[in-house]
Amino acid sequence: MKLELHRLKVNALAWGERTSLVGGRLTIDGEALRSLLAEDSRFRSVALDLALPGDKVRLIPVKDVVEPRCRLDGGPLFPGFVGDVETVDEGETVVLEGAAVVTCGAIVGFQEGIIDMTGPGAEYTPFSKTCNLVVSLEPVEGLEKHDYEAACRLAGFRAAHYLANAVRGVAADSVETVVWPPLSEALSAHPGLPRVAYLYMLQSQGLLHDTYLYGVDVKRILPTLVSPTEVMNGAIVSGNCVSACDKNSTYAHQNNPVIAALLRRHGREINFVGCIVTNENVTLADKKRSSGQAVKLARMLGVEGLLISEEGFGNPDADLIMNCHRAEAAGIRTVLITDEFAGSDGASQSLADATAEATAVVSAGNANARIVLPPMERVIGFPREANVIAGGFEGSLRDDGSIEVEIQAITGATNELGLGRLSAVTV
Amino acid sequence: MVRVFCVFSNNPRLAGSKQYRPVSSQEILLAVRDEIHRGSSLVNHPLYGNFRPHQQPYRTLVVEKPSSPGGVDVPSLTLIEKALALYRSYEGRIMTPGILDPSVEADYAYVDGELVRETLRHCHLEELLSEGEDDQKSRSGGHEE
Repeated sequence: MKLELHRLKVNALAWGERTSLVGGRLTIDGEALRSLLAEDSRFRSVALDLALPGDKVRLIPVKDVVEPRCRLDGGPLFPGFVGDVETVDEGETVVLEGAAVVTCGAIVGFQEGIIDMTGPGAEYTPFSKTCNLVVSLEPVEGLEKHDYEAACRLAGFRAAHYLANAVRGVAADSVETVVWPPLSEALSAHPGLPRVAYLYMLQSQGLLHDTYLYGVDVKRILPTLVSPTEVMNGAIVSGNCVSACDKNSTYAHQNNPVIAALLRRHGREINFVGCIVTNENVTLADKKRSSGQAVKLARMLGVEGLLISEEGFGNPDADLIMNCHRAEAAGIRTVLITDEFAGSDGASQSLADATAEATAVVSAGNANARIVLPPMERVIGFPREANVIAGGFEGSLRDDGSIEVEIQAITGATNELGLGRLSAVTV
Repeated sequence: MVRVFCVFSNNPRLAGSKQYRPVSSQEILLAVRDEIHRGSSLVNHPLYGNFRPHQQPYRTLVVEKPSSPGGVDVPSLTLIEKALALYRSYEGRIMTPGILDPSVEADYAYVDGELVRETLRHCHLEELLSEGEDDQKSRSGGHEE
């Protein structure tokens, strides 16, 4: 399997009569794109805005962030949603690096996030550094929430495909090639280095708390083995309307830093043999089944180490700990990546569950830390939602337009794939 | 063997369940803990994914009645006690129904219902779940006690 990512750098956005990319400046034919998205009869209105790094702009409530991509031949890359369901483990992909499509909609207001493009809040979200096309979507009257979510999800993918497809003829600034061998070769490669797999936990608790693999709702899957190239190429997308700080946006899946780090160390420090995708379901029977199957796959691969990333918090902590406990009981050493809800002073218990075997844990930050976001010159979306957004509270939105919230409300603030801007410091 | 389930809820969307009570989410957990001491076992996890105890006024938990008299299901008891410990750390801030703006509360009721839908389906009790507060008919299709 050979995947080529043809990266086209984007460092500015502008409106224009024709969508084009010249010298890093992406000009967008807003009317053509708006008309395309408005074809979906589930929307009453579709509004487009630009939000660039340093702009005095607040985006709220943010649903998803998507990196614009398409196949080099123009085909779409969100299998099961836009285009076919063909396997995406190889091929040539155009990536508009530095650009992002941000979808906004008040689906269930308290579940969405905030992105500030400047000021203290901007330091907590990776999407203050991307050039964002913001798509604000309002539903027709009476549209069911899950239909509204599905429509917003699709609109994000369609916009992302539209942008990449329109400029795919431009010469790439760089081409990244990832070659992934067959399992028989992978398992015997790099003798002497520890064999390591990645257990990729995905939110799947129910409607509005969903993730999709090739268009399949992952709550319906048994844990399965995927190639890193599939993940890098859009096989996993977000359908999540959960707590903004630690939900994996589609952008985070497309650019999973855990996979990138494993690939960097592959052949030097470790022998990385693959990704096991698993879910985070609600019933205890499902949790046991998935954990058992995921660890069984790790045993079949004969790995010595398993890196486990969680998505979300609360009852997924039980899945995380169960996966850790079972893997360690099978003789597989684990490292966990999670975030914390440890109270505003950081003194409370960080996770809802624990096990003595969880001795190597990476924290993506404490989501309860509080921050005051100063007023912005412009708000795109629906500012009233600040009062009800998770991490906010009644009175969060002050008269002067500033907002006091926990960083839980900021999109990607404690991303458990490491696509955040927080890191540990020695004091 | 007929499996018998019991739905504890304070969500109006589950007003048709026999253990529906308009109390706080914490009181739902306490009622379930007592039920576990009577021999029942948990079907769904007592904590939400991505909600902290004080953020969501509604909670729905499903337990399975013991098929024969026996001891206490220790894993269920451990889970509910751990969850209650977390609830106690939010003492005084636990949301009860009726405090929030009605439209926001309706969203919370909606999400609680959707998050428990899979569990209810597993127990053949999905018909207990109404679409919203306007539709509170009880249409039990499974075995609920």
